[in-house]
Amino acid sequence: MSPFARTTIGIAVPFLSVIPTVPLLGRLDISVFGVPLALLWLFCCIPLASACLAICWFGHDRDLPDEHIDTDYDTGAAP
Amino acid sequence: MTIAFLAVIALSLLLALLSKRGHLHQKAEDFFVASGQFNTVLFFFLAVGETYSIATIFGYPGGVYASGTGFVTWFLGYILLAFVVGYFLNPLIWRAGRVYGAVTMPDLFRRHFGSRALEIVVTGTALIFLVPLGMQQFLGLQIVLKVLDWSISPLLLTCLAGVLAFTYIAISGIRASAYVAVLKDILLILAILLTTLVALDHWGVGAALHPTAAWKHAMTPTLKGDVFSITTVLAQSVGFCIVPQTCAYVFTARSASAVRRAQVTMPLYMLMFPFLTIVAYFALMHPTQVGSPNEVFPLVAQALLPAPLVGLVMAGAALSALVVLTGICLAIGSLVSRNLVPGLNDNQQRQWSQVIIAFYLLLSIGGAATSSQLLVTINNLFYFGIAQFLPGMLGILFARRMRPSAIIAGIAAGDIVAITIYEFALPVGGANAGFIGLIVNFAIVLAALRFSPGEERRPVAAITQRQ
Repeated sequence: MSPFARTTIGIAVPFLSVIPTVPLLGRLDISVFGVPLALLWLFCCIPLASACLAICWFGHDRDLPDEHIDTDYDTGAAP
Repeated sequence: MTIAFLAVIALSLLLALLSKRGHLHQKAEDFFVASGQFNTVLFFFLAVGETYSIATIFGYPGGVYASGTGFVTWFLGYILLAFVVGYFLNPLIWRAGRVYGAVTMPDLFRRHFGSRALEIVVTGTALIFLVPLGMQQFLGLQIVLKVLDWSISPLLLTCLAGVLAFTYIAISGIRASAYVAVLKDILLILAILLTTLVALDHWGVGAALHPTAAWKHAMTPTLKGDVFSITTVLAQSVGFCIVPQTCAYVFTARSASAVRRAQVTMPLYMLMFPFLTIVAYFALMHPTQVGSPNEVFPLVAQALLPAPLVGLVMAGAALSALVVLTGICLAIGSLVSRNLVPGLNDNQQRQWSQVIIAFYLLLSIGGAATSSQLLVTINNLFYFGIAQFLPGMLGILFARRMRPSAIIAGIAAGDIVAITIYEFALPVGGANAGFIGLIVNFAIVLAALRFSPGEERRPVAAITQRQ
């Protein structure tokens, strides 16, 4: 996965799904089983955000070498 | 009810004692950030604990009850997107913590920019804005104690809760917080599910309002409301990642991957919020004597559940306040003993922090005894100040040049603008005061960057990873 796709899926999709989508949906007089669409959509954004981050993790970050940095809490480690 | 409640508290103390196993002689960094040894699971419970604080279990249904779904948009929106931002930002903050040997957030600022003045400004600002947060936990605890209805002075009970929080910290610092957080989260999930299921079972019984009418009460959108929601989500979702105690939690993680893995699953933890929303709407449909909106959840639980289960629900709520309180206390203790008073050795840092924590707990108890603000209002006030650290933090992570003096000026200006707008209720079209403060803050830092960029430093994002 390219860094651009990672950023788009990981940040742009979750952000755009919440703002401005939720306030805009709030202006529609649509409800499902009596529950406003905006509220239902916001609740759907919860698994959606997790799915987006999972795509970033499995598609890109999992393959990066993990960082284990030894540190000195008194002076800081040399970078 | 009392037996169930006390049994859970006793179990939490046992867990705190267990957390000390193998760490009898803690150094300061172990006391404050577990020497960066936590795996994904412990880091997850510690970090996500902030999501399920007393402001969530009591404040969220209270906010829906008092302000409707406009409130849901910003409250859920900012926490959800904070996890998204955290996935990208927190591994870098973790790396910065390791590179600079940081225990607190101001440690990063001092060691990256080499500026004692900046360290003091960041520490002072964090301390000022952390004070109401402790008060918020005690306000929630007062509601729990009210439901328990013990015939003991409420002030004495609140003081006992303060002693309990202090005991967790004294046992093993952040390790006790993490262990108790696991118990607290299991209990909270059970409490929320139980209360919601019973509320659904009683949904139509004795309802004074039709469900659709109740939803509509909450769904009348206004432009000002939307502007507030959007600006609050933007300011607080990034602000969440630079909260001093959140940074301390990130520093406890063993590796950058441990942080990322935990961040992926954190949004799923929010699936409890739809259930809390149902409880709020149950209260809207069944008008009862609600003294304050903060009491909606405990009142519904008390009305519908048998007494022993109410005891468990209240114990979960009390632990949520206590765990978050310990995190705040440890953050404040370390801010004072490491950043405000320099040059203390390991033992002195622990002793100083314990004295400061005891003082802070007393101050918060006093504040809670004289305040009755909505729990979520305190949440907003907290982020006004904390969000102002963003330009400086981005400077540490990404910028090759940034002057410490510009960051100080930005923080000061941002705080003054935010507080002035809030205090004098200045008309800003509904925008979040902290967001406007942040814009002013960024404008100052960027102007300084343009006209007087200062010396070059290597940003943390550009530091070569050492495997």
